[in-house]
Amino acid sequence: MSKLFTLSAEQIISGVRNREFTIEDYVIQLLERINDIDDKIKAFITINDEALNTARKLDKKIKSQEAVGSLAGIAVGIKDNICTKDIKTTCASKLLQEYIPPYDATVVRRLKERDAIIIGKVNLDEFAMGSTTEFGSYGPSHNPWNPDYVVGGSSGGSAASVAALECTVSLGSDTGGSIRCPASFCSVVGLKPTYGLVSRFGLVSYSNSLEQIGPLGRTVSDIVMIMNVIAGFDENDNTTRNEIKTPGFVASDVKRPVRYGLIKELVEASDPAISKLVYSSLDLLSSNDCKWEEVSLNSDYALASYYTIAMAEASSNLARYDNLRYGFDFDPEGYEWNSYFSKIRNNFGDEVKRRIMIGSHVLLSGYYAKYYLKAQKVRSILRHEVKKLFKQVDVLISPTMPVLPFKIGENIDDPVKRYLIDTNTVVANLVGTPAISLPAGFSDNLPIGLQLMTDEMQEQLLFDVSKMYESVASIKRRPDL
Amino acid sequence: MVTIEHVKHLAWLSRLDLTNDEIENYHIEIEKIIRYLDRLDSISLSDVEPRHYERRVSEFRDDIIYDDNQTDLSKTTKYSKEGYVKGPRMR
Amino acid sequence: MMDEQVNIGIEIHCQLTGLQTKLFCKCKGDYRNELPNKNICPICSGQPGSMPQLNGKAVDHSCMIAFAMNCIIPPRMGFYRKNYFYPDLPKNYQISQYDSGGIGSVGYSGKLQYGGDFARIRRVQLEEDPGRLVYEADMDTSFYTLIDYNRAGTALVEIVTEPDFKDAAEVRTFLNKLTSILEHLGVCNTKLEGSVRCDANISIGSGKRVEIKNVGSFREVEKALNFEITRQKSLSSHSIEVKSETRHWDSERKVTKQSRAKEEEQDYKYFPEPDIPIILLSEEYLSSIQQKMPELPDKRRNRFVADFQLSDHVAHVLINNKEMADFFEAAVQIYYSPKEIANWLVSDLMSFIGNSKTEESSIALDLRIGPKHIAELARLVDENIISRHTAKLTLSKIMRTGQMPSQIIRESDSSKIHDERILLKAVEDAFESEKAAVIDASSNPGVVNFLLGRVLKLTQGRADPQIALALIKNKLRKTT
Repeated sequence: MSKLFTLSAEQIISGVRNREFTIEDYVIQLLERINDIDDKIKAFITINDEALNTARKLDKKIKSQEAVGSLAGIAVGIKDNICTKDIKTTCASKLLQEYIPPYDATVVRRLKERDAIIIGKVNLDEFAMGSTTEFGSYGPSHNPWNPDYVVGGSSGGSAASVAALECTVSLGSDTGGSIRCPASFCSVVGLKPTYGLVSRFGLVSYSNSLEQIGPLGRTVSDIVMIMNVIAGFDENDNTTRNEIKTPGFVASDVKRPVRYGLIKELVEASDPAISKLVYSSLDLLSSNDCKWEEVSLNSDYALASYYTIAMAEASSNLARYDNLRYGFDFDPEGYEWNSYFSKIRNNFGDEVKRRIMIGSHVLLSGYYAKYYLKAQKVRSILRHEVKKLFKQVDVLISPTMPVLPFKIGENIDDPVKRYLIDTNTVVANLVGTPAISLPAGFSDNLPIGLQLMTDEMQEQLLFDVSKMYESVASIKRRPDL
Repeated sequence: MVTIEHVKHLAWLSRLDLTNDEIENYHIEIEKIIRYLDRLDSISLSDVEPRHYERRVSEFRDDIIYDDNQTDLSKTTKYSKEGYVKGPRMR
Repeated sequence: MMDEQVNIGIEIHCQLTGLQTKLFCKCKGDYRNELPNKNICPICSGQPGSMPQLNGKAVDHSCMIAFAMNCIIPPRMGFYRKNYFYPDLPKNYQISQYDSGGIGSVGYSGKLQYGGDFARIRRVQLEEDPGRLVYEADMDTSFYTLIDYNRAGTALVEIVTEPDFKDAAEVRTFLNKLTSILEHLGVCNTKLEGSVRCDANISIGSGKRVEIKNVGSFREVEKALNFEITRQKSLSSHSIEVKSETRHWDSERKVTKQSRAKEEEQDYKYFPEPDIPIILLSEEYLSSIQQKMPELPDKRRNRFVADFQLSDHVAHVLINNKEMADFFEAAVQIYYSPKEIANWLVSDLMSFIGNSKTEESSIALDLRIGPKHIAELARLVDENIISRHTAKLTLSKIMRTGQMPSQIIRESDSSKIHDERILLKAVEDAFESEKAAVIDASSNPGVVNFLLGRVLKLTQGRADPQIALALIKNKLRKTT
């Protein structure tokens, strides 16, 4: 069978189960596909050289009628800031360019327990700090829809590899929009779960109180399938919620009455092509029992709050990179320790260094109340506002991004202008609510995503509505690769 | 005003051995960003409590040894001696 | 020159050696005797992506300490990151606690009585220990440092006092009390190497405060403090201003030394640890802790006096060494003769403990003697089966062999002699050999006891002393 790489996760699993093709067939095709096109996309940092062996072992089991896990056949691309045992994990940073973790992140372990195959590690902005996947030490990834354009970030490799059919699904991390932004720019589905629903154990921390690991895929069903494996309480992560031990999400075609709230400030601030698409999406969604209305959410302080907290936590999380327990070859003998640490750490990229420094600034004892504490209080206010809205409506809608994908290198100059493109996505991280980006259409062949957000722990509602939208929006295009 | 001196101090606090060029370039960007973050000054939130998550003591783990996941530092450490990790001098 | 007021405050770090695991991971808490970097996991070695897993029992133990210090325990506590770079910190921050007006440490505003005084306790907090730096030769001349992370992540409780101490002796007494409390609670074995560290701050009169860091054992604290007080007084007597600084105690040369490292004003950039939720210390939880708490030394001492009619002194001696106090209670359970048993422990057994060389001596292990031995010994004496003298001899045999006293006595046939004819013979032998003493008897009443001693010697201690005494007195009356 050819072009197995175009199949969805569900189709792969049933194809393997029905012996239409072997997992080895599938993995070989994926590896060939990666070989053919990844030069143009640069989604991958490392290919797992054990992938084929694992595939063969699974095929053997299937052949001898032995039981295999529910994800047998699925090939997952893992963002390179998620620890994979014995597979290099670099965070796209010189400081970790040779790091081979001695342990698996919980999400990786759970995938492996269900016999998913790790096909490789995918590109990101260094330490997940960025929205374009341009700032990693391996260089930028290129948008499968138009290689001169950015993929979005920081989980750019995760989105691009799924869009370019180089893997079935992928995992990314989302601190201020890092899954949803590239999902929107690459026309794939990307979910940031409720804070605490998916374990962060093994996710190289950037901002602990904001980030979550989440799945990216070509369909909503694929996302649900992965969530059922990775979500749920983990004793290794004290911030995971104990309401759900074993998730049982469904991807059904149930139609239910839904009240949508369109966040008017976010639509008004976006590119006209985008707002046009949002309104037509709302038309598609409307029916007898699905109505939409305009709502208002004042997020004036959201971006400042987000960057204050993210940079502060980052400055602390990245302190451990001193090249002693892991790192690159640089003999410490003879150096005075402060000087050694400082020389080593100057190998971080510019964006990372600036964020660490600003993070240090806002945590200085004289400034703590002014910045960090204030920013945390803003979160409480925002949460209060959002909760009020969820009494009025069930689902909040906005464009995922206020702008269309732009050319690589275009948005580099003004840092605040760069940060402003996160405006639509940061609210979900600040408040802890789940949010998904769905392919909504194109403008000049450049993808546009629609963002849906529900209240905390309302993932099932979010999945139901997403499936509804997916069925009426019918975005079935593939990039020309 | 975020001065160059302050930027140098932040670099020291963060243990970053910046070049003079880096200090100058970063200074401009950092000042812009901190100006932006200063908008947090324009709201007073003295009555607001930051959100926190809570757990009861019984929800934390038991005091039972588990040593199946011991880390072998020799696999990731570049310089070691007799099992110790080699580090720079303290003086 | 006036004797200006000395003000000393101390900060004690105690490892929670009563725990099996570290504070934030499931590695073994006791890292002693391990080869370097052989007791670590991704969490305590600070691997990228690792996250802390709080040990619930550590919270229990820290609450017990806070109760024992008579602290206020808040309804919620939280952890903070103390951010600083140092090669012994695997994450270059320490997860600790902090009192900033937000949700803070496990206990504050406490008070502990010691001797006739009391000291105010500023706070009690829970935190993790860093790793250890080792030098091949000397810290000052080594070109590199060797790092062992085995200790990193071990649970510590920090106890900080107000500067309420007026001299080193007070501090010593306080630390003895603290040791007794920690041992009674079973949370910290202060005899283990490295289990307690002490920092002190001292100022005299209106002079500047000096910090003495890292005194490695409670024993050394008194010496360090005395040295420093002398140093400061000597400076001011020469009109030299005492500098506000940090000094280290050199336990080999017995001096405090100026800290060589340029200790810059540290800004620790404290913020709440985002990977650990706030911990609820509910009333139910706290009262269950109080109920399960082992008996504190003061309460136990009072109980010993009230219930067992022991003297204050004897009770105090027993309590000061928890193992002795436990031994006492166990023995009394077997045979109820508290005063007799206490006497044996305090007068006889204690001297053997005192002779032990190691700090880690233990009655049961070193001397092979248990409560049942002493209980039986006491019974044998009470029931007049053996004399006290015989019992003392038997005691040393017990300690050598671990045999029960009744067994030893059976084997050596050491039951008391009550037979008057045998005793009379011994008395007469004694009188015969001590003629000079007998002559002195009329003017010297002590002779009677002397003669009794002779009789006991002649009968290998088996003579019933009362009968022998009566016979001796009788004979003396007849003789004079």
